[in-house]
Amino acid sequence: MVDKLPEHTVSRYEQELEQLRSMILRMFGMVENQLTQTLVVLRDRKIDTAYEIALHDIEIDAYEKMVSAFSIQILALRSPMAIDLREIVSAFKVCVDLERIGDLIAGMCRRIVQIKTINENIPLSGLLTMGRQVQENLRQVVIAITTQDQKLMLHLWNADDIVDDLYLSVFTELTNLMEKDSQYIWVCSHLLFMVKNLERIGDHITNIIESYYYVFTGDTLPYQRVGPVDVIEDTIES
Amino acid sequence: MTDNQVAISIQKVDFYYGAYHALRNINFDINAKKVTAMIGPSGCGKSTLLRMLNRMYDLYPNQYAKGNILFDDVNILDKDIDLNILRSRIGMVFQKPTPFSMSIYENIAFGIKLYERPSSARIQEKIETALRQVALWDEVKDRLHRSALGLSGGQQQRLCIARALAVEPEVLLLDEPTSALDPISTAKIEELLDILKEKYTIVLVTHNLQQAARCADNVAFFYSGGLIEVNDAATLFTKPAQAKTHDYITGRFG
Repeated sequence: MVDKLPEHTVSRYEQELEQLRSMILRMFGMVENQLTQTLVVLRDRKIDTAYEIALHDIEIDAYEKMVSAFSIQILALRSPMAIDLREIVSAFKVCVDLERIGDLIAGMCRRIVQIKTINENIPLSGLLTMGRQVQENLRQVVIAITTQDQKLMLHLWNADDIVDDLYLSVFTELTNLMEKDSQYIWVCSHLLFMVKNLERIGDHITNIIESYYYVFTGDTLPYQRVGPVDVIEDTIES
Repeated sequence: MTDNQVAISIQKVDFYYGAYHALRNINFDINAKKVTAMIGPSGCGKSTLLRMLNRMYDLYPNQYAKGNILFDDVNILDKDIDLNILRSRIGMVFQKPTPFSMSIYENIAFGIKLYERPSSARIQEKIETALRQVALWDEVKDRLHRSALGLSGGQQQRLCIARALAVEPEVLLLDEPTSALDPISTAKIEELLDILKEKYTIVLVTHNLQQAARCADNVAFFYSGGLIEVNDAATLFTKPAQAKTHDYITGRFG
């Protein structure tokens, strides 16, 4: 854990960094909320609100532009060094990851709108479990960042394995269902894309962790994370 | 030459202004043909150390040093050392441009004549070389015999660097060389450092952290008479090892 740093001599600079942090936290809050609502829609199979959730994406995009512009402004005007430099450069990257997460969730919502109804025979528990795991990782990342807990960061970084494992099992579940009954192909294809979106969100979360690990330690994480074994290759081989 | 050959080795150095203990147990190596920047708040001892490197402090009474500063295996601090030879090998440029009230030509010739008696053709040659090295030749070649005081501040500072270079030193010490200059003149001097380090070992004292970041290969941070950290510039400014360095470079100093 990093000790609490003394404040900057220039208090306006301190305020700007605080403002940047709160903008990023606000973005976290927005995507987390968007994901929670999407999972509720799926759980209750009530697709009518999905379109509205997708619209929130516009707000997240606007925040990404604000954070980028503000980061550039601080870089230009304050010539930051050391942890400040690392934090600002990371904010610049993290806001893009968060914006992408927002896009991926909005993409899921648009698919839900297209599907219209999800037959009771189509199991959603796997997809929902995966969604909740992603949601939990996202929530924990905010805790790890705000408490500067490097152990938790490493734990969460590795926790993406769970998301990857779930991805493989849900993928298999859905493709099996498609093989059994061709009437489900259309819906399950959409669901497959949604599962893939969740898996991609997991990857963006690991990117975010890597960025903040760099902020707090000045080090990059020691090795490359291995993503899920490519499902398609796997399926072809078996 | 290997990448990190040591030009000057500073070993267990202390410095006193009378009773005031200005530098405490300083140890570090200055690499040859690199730019080493010394940074730190006012009064931290960085300029004192710079002035030790060519024994400027000998000009003042009651100032004395302890320890060793090895340059070519000779201790610079040794009382018996020939200061003229030392200062011809380790040149110095100051914060404010210090041209003499004489012509541009004489300003440089003066330095050369301190150490040798070359022919006037040879002097002319050395002056041109020195002025070309600091990218001043084209600007002043038509007015070499006019007063140096007519030059702009940036040109005067480059003239002073040319004067230091004309005696063909091995090390160039620069004490806040651009603090009195505008950004364009500053950029010209910084560009110059980049070129000069191919031939010279450069030690730069600066209050401008961005300048240290832009120009230096290695940076030494001093605080309250002590050397807190020496590191390569990229590491020191992105991931300093010491909390004191960190607080100083990020502007979190009490």
